[in-house]
Amino acid sequence: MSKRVERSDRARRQAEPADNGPKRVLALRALTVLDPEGAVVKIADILDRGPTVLVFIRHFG
Amino acid sequence: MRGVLSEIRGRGAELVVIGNGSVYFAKTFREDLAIEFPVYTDPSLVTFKAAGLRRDLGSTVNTKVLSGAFRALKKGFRQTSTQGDPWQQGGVFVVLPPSDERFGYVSSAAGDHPSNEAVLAALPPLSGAADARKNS
Repeated sequence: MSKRVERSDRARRQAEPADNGPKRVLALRALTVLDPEGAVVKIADILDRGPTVLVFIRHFG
Repeated sequence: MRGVLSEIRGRGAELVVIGNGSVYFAKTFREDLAIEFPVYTDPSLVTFKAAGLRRDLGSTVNTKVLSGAFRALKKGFRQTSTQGDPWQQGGVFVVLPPSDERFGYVSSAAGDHPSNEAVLAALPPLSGAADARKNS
């Protein structure tokens, strides 16, 4: 696969939120995660604090 | 992403990481690496699924992943034992409250990340943004 194809693929995926973004964020807002002490935290509460760079990582370590 | 934490915060935003290992792994990850930003975990993977992130064998084991792992090793990064779901992929989303997704990136494979520049470009500009995020 050429680099050009790879770049266009990346551009396509970065453009994806225009279609799926609102639905995705609304779905996430309804869910919860656990903090490192085990407390349940609403994602809505995290996002309502202000602009957020939300990074989902594959695994710790 | 950690390398641009000050730039993220300079735009009034916060870096928030969600992993999928146990609470114990989340705690040791934060402590061992002296993480200064919020870390959470979702061992159920429900949030990963809601975010539309990939979870399959093909995105985890392929030649692109192996070459990326080799490059990471050359740079001195070494992955320890997997502390989470081995087939789960990640992603990055920039969200402005309450529900405005300004940027989204669904990783196609291990080692597939958006550029820091692309993420920063989705955040509010530097000037006047410092108080945009509520401290709590």
